[in-house]
Amino acid sequence: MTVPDSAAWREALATMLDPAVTAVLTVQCQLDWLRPVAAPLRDEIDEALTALTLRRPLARTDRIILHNLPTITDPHPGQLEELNRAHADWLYRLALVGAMLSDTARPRVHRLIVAGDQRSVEAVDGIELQVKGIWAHPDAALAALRLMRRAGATTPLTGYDIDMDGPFGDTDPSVYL
Amino acid sequence: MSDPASAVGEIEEIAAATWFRTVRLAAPATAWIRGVRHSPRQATLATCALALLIVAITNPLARQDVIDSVQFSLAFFATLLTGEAVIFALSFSPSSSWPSLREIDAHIAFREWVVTGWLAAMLLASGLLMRTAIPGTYGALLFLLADVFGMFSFIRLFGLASADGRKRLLSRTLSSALAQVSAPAATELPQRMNEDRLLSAYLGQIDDAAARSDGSGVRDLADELAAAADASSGTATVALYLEVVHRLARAALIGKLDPVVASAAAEMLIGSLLEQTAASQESADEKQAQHAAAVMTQASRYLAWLANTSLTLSARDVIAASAARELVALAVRLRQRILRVADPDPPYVAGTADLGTPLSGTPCVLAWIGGFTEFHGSHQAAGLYPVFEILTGTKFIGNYWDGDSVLAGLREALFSPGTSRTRAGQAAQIAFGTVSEFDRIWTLISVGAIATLRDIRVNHPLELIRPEFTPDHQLLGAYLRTFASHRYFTTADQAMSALTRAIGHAGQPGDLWQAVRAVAAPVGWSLPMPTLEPQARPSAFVLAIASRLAPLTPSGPDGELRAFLARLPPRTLDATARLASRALPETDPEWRGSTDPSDNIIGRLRVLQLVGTHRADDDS
Repeated sequence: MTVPDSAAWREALATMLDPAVTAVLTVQCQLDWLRPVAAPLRDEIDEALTALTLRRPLARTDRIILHNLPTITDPHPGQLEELNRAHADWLYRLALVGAMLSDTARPRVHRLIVAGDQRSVEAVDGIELQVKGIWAHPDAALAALRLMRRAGATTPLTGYDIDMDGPFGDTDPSVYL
Repeated sequence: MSDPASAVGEIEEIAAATWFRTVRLAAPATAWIRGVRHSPRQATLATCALALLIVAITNPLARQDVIDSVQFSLAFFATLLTGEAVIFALSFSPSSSWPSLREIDAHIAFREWVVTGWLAAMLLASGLLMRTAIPGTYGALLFLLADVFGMFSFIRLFGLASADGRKRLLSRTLSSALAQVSAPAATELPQRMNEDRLLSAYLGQIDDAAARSDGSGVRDLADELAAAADASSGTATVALYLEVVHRLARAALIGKLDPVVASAAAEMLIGSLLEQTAASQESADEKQAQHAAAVMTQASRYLAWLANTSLTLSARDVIAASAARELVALAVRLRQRILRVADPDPPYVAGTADLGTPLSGTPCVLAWIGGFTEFHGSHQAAGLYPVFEILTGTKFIGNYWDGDSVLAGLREALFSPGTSRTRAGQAAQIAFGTVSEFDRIWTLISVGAIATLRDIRVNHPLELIRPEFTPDHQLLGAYLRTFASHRYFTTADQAMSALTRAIGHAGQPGDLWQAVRAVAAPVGWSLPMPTLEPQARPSAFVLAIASRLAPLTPSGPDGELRAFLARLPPRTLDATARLASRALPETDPEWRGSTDPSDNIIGRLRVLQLVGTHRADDDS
C-alpha cells in the first residue's frame, strides 16, 4: 500500500490558484485513493477543485476516477467491502457536490470503466494544469484526454439519481412504524 | 472371494459409525457431566450419589430390608410426582412459550429428580432379580436421594405457583439470556438476539399479551424485563428495552392494546433505563459514559419519532385520538426527564437521578444533542443549555426564547482568542480541533434536525397539544434559530464554500464526526427508524446553510441569501423549496403564495424573526 505523493499534489493545488491557469485535469484511479490513510488528501483535492470552480467557473476542470474497482487478488478479509464502501461514498459525494453547482461551474467527472478481469488500470495518476491554453506536461495531459475521449472508456458522473428531497421517512416518519 | 483389506476397512467403518452413534446418544449425559462443574445443584447430586455408592458397597443390606425401605420411599416419590402434576395443571398454560417447560425444569430440577428415581428403580429391580445385594442397596439409597430432591423440586415449584415467584424466575431467565447474547461471539449482536430462543419467546409473549389487550400480562412482562435489567445493563438489554417499548407503542397505535397500559409500561421501562444511566455518572469509565450517551440519544430520537408518528396517524384518522394523546404525552414527559438527566444543573430536580450528568466527553454530548434534536423533538432548544454547560464548564447566560444564540456563545467561549477556559472548555476545544471543524460538525447536526421537522400542513389537533409539542410558529422559529444563529459566514460565496465543503468532506476514521456517530451506533439498530448520514438529506443541507444567511430581524437584508439561492441549480432549489413548504410556515402575508422557489424559501425563513418579538413588545 502506498500513500499518494501529497507534496506534489499540494504544490499543484497551490499553483492552480494562479489566474493564468485555464484548465485542470486530474487522474485518481489507483486503489490507494480509497484507503483511509489517503482520505485527508482526497478531501483536500476535492475541496480545492470545488473552490476553484466556485471562484473561476470558466476554468475547465476534468477529473478521471474509477467507475468500478479492478480485480483484487487475495484481498484481506473485509478489504473489498471497505474499498467498495469508500468508492461508493466518494462517488456519491462528488455527485452531490456537483448537484449544488450550476451546469457551467460543475467539474466534469469521468468514470473510467474497468473490465471484469482487469487487475490494473492504464491511466496514470496525477494533476495536470493548463496555463493560458498550454499544458505544462503535454504528453501526460494528452494521454488522459485521449482516454476521456475514447468511446466507451469512461462514463460521466451525474447526479440524476440523487434523491434531493432525502428519504421519504423524513417527510412522513410514520413509514417506519 | 472378498479382499481381506476391504473387509478390514468395512469393519473399521462400522466400528467408527457405532462409536459416533454412541457418542451422539451419550451427548446429553456427557453434557450433564460437563455441567456439574458449573452447577452447585448437580455437583451436590453427583457427590451424594457417589457417597451412597460407597455406603452400598461397604454395607450392603438384606433383600427384605431393601424391599421394606423402597415401599415407603417409592410411595413418597409417587406422591410428589402427583403433586407436581397437579400444580402444573393448575398454574401453567400449555400454550405459553414463556416460561417454557425447559426454564421451569431448569429451576425445579425436575429432570434430575426423575432420572435419579429411574436409576434407582432400575438398579433396585436388577438387584432383586439377580439376587445381588449391592445394586439393590444402592437402588434403595438412591430412592431416598430422589425423595430428598423431589421435595426440593416440589418446594421450588410451589414458589412458581405465585405470580411473584414466576416473575422472579422469568427475570432470572431473561437476565441469563441477556448475559449469554452479550458475550462476545463470531456473529453480530442483532443476529444473536434474533436467534436466541428465550428472547424470542419473551417478545412473542409480549406480542400475545398486547394482541389480547391483556393489561396485567403486559405489566408483568415489563416488570420482569425491568428486574432482569437490574442485573444486566449492556447493549443487548437496551436493545431489548427499546424493542419492547416499540412493540407496545405499535400495539397501542394500530393494535388493540389499551394506550394507558402501553404508555405506563413504556414509561416504566424507559424510566428504568434512565435511572441506570443516571447511576453511571459516578463512573469514570469511558465505555460506560458512551453507553449512557447511546441510551439517551436513541431514547430521545425514538420518543420524538413516536410523538410525530402518533400525530400524523391521528391527523389521518388511522388511529384513535386517545392512543395518540397518551403516546404524545408519554414522549413529551420522558423527553423532559431525559433533558433533566442530561442537564448538570437542571432548573428543578425531581430526584437524585437529576443531579449531575452522565454525559461526558465531546463526542457523547454531540451524539446526544444530535439525537435530541431529530424528529422535531420537544424541548430541543433547551437541550443546547446542558451542551453549553458540559462543554465549557460554565452556564450559558441568556435565553433562546429571547433570541440569544447558545451556539454562537459556545463558539466564542471555545475559540475566541483571549478567553479564559475551564478544563472542560480546553478539552472540548481540543476535541473539535479547529473552529472550522466546530462549524462543520454543528452544520451536520443541524441538517438532521431540519430534515426531520414536522410537516406543518398536517393539522395539529387540540387534544395533541402539549408543552413544546404545539403548532406554535414562534416555537418552531426558536428551534430553527438555535442552529440558524450559528453564523460562521456572511456572504453568498462563503455560504457556497461552506455547503460544498460540508457535503464533500468524507473525513477519516477516528475524526470527531466519526466518533460522534460511533457513540450511539451500538444500539441504533434496535430502533425502527434508521440513522442517516447528513449527505443523504441534500435539501436539508441547503436549508441549513440558507437559514444561516436569513435575516433574523424584519429590517435585516436578505441580499446574500437571495444571491446564494440564485447560484443553486433549479433542481436543488426546487427540492429546498419543497422542504421549506413542508417544514416552515408562511408567517408574512407579503410572501404568501409565492411560486418562485427562492421567494418561497426566503419568505418561510422569516419564521426566524418571530423569536424574541415579545422583547420588542415589552420595550414598546
